[in-house]
Amino acid sequence: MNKMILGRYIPGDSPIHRLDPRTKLLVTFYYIAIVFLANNWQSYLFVGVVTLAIIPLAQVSWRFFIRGLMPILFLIIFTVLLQVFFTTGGHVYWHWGWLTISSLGLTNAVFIFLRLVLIIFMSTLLTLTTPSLSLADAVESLLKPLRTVHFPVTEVALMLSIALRFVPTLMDQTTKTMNAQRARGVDFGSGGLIKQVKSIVPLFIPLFVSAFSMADDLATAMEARGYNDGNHRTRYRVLRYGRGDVMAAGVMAVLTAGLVLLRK
Amino acid sequence: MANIIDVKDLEYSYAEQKAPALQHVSFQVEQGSWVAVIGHNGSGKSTLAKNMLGLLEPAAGTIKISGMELSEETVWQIRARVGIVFQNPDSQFVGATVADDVAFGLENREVPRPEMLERVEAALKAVGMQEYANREPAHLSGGQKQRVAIAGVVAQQPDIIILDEATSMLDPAGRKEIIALIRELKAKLNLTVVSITHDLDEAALADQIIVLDSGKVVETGTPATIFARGSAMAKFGLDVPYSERVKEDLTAAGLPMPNTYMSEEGLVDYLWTLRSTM
Repeated sequence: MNKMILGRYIPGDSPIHRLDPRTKLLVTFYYIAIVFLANNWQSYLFVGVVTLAIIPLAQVSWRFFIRGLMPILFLIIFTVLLQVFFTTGGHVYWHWGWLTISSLGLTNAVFIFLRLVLIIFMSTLLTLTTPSLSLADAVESLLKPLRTVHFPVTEVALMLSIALRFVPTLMDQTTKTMNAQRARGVDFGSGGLIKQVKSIVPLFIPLFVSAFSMADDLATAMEARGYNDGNHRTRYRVLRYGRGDVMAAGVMAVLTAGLVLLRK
Repeated sequence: MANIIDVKDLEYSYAEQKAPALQHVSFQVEQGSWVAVIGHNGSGKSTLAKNMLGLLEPAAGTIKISGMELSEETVWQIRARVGIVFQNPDSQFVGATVADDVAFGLENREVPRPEMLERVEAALKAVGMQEYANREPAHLSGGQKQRVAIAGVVAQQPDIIILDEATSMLDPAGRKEIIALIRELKAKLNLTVVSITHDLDEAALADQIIVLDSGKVVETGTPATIFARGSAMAKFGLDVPYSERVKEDLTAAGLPMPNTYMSEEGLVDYLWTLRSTM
């Protein structure tokens, strides 16, 4: 369970790891948007080549990227099949009732497939090279303008970072509580649905109780250490854009220009 | 030397309980000394600590820290001078990494960043955790987390450090290490230590022991005088250290025993050299 949420980050010191998390976040979103500009072989080839050139910079094994595809493999297959069977146009190869396989359908299916894979590769790149804490920092920094409308940005950021910090602690607590209840004869994960749901109750109640008492202790500790409000604080962790970030922006500019030129 | 802590007639009651948690608690602590507050569960030890930091508001009585009376106006100044380490290593770790956690108190006090970097580094070095600066708490042991909590206090540069059963969730080796660290830091930084504890070996290191029972101060004195009362302590739910019990029995058997506190090791050393003629 621990691996599922936090184990995505692969520590390293590659040029991609060193990028400012804000850059990575923005670039990823931007990339997802401009991938949609590609609409012919040339433009897909171009995005593909650029993406495949960026990924090795992270010095992370390809395995992780392939693994990143797994969770939504079903979605990809489903979308591709939908395109293959339901898009009509061009030369028809096969026809049965309202199912047709046509040349346009096949082309579209390949394009959609490429688009999804590229988008997932890029977002996997983001999560593999950026610790969740840095992402929280990036979100905070990018949300800063909202302060003018009295949105409590710093408080939300602190909440986010505390929540992230407590994930493993609560996971630990869950394991402990599960073991404690197993020792008392609770059987998790067997029997019918109703029985399984019932067996969760003796897990969740102690877990909630301990989470609340931990939250209370944490609030006391924070107050004892002088936490008053989010606004009158200096920051230990600051984000600074560097040369790599300018280069990343440059790459995105080239990618955009290339796509605009190559698309139909 | 001047009294750095002066508590007078402190009273506190929890809303949901009938009996007051603290009644007429008065004591003084000299600057630079080590005071242990002992008592069984529910004797009011932790309530006392929380009152001293203004985390709970006393019903009556005054608390003065370095001559400053604790009130709504002075509470933040007092919190800057008094650092506290709580019992549970997990629920006092605020930062996402070790360095972040040490910096938390400094961020709250609006310490400028360049100074903050220096103080965090120095504090981590002081507790021997500098190599762990970027680690996440999930990858630390309980003892290491307590070290980080101590570093957080050290970085604040306080005058007083309160240990609220800070070692009670650690194994014996971890306990010893933390106590040794506190002793070292106390000497180096001229701290006053208030240690609230169950562990009588820890209390034995103090200059002064305050015994609490049902919210009242029942005894005050040096470890030697407190432990010398032997069985009288048992009625407050306190176990006299093993070495003290052996000493008591040996004295009863007619052996010349010193009346200062001795650790087990100290006692063994004393005994094997007692009849030595070399």
